[in-house]
Amino acid sequence: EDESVKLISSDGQDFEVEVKVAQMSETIRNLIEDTGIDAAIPLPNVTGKILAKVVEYCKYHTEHPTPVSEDKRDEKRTDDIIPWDQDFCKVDQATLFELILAANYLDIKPLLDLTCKTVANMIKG
Amino acid sequence: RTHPQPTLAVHNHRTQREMTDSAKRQRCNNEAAMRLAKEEGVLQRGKHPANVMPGGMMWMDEDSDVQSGRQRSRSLGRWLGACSDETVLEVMMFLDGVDLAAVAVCSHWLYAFANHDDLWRRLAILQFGADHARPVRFVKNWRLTYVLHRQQETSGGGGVGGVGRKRKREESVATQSLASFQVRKVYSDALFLPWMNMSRDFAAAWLATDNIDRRSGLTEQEFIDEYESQNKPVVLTDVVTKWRAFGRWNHEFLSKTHGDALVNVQAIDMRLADFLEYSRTSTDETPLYLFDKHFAEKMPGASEEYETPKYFRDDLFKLLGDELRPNYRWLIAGPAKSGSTFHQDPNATSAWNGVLTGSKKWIMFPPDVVPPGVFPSDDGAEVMTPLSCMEWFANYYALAKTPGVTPVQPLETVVRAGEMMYVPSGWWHAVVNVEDSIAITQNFVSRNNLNRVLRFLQFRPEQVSGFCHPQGRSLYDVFREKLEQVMPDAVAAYDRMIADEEAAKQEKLKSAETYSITKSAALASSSSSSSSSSSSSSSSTSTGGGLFGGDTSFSFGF
Repeated sequence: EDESVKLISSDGQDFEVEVKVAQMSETIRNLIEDTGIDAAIPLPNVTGKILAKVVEYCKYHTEHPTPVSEDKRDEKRTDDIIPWDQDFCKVDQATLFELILAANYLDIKPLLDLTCKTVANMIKG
Repeated sequence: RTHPQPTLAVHNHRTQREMTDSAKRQRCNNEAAMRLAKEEGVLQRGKHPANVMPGGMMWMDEDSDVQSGRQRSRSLGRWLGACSDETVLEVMMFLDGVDLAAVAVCSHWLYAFANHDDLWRRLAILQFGADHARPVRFVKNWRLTYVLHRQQETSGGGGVGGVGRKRKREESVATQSLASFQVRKVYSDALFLPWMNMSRDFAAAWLATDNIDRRSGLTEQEFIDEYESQNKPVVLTDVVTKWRAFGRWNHEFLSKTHGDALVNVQAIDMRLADFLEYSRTSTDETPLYLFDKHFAEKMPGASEEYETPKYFRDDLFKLLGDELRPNYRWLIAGPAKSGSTFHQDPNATSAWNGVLTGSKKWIMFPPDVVPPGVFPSDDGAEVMTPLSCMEWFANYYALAKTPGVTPVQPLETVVRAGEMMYVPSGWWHAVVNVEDSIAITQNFVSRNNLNRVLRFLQFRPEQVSGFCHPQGRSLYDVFREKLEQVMPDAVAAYDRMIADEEAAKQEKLKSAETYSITKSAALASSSSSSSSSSSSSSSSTSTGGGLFGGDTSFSFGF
């Protein structure tokens, strides 16, 4: 239950991450199902800097799961970002967009939603 | 594949002296590709309204900035430009109407994205779908529909009551001001394919197979013997033709008689008359589909104009009474290309589907054969399928027909006006309207599918649908109770069947258990007379004689 798996960023940085945290990524979850947790997982599309942020996000959200609203209208709201997430997204544009790409590649839907929402809010001004 | 004809290119070069060389070549390539696409029956409605091109065509554009992606990045901006088309659409989905309109004026690519009609359809459904005071009225496309609805909200016009002169004026002004700008060099499959899929007509091949029996004049017993007891589909040709509604219910009649009824169209409630107009003019790839379970109440007199055919009158869910009975009858209507993707009907019921106008393509697989392109979860509770019927046909139909892919070939036919399909319990089916259609359907439980239904209700209570008990009792309990009062023999037969199945399962498990326990006993070399503790996860019914009794337990011996 506190088993961990090793992730390797494109620039060779290692990240030892609890399995349940890493499994927030559907991509990693599928890989683990196929090859187990003993082998390290290389992520050639994600730099160390971004992977660190992603791991931070997943750690927080595994420890503090947010309830999902049943109402369809809440699906695409942009005014309901929790404070921790707001702070998380206070990064320069380049980082924000790299987070979008990482969330997409790693298939972490809540993170993808959060980053797209943030960009949408920037567009709204 | 044929290549564009050289003569076409030459002809165009001669007639467009004004344009630069590359623009001329560009235009030739586009026209040639269009012609090719038309010849293959792919493009029926001409080009995309904003002139978005398929993604692959960027390779025919000689502009190196296009092929490198730089032009796209410049147009979308450095950061959005780094995202895929799908991600850009994800971001756009968080914007409302005003934001989308603002984004649209920034660049060609942003215009193309911000005017993607699906985005406006989502907005319309989310914001106006449940508004009964001012139901959504579809006009031409979703963007226009949304703008008009907002306009009328603020100006106080529109609302329930039909189309007046003022409204028509508003519409024509809005239409003109939203006349589509033609983008240049926007190559995107994410934006183009939905348009293309919807423009694509049914390929003749998809409609060709017809291997379901068509019968008329069947007695009830014949129907049971030849179809119901064998859980086999059939098309009945002499039932719908006798209904009063047949020949009477068409767009004109329904709009006039029941036009104001608020009917349920997926996530929206709309006036029936407005839906029928949408049905005539829709260009959506996945058109909205009317599926109303309360049509009998909303349309006074409607339920008198058709009758349940004699083969299906025995609906045991009737025993539950009107209050508790799960939804059982629907009016269904929709434009060509609307329909349902593969599913099994709720609560393991059987169904009949009578077509009043139009025609529907049916494709069906038996209960234990999952169709290609359909991915049920392990417990069957969730089923994933491609987005639209058209997409399924385009991507999976050929596979489904390839021998060996599934254990049996699918059953298919086109059911026409005046005909009725019988869908036996558990059969997978997908239905697409080949043309604008109106139909009535009912689900039922008969003696013949009673066991399947009871089994479903007992063992998959979380998948039961359309039932809500004030004290939270399960449908299985309530239904069983009623059945015991009226036909206790049927309930007893069901119980026996389940007991037999359970016993057979135990037998199988027992022999598997014996094998593994024998093995571990041999390995552990512990006393074989230890008490038979059932360590497997199956239930603890005693199998008599102990696991180590007799020679059989060592028949697998080491």
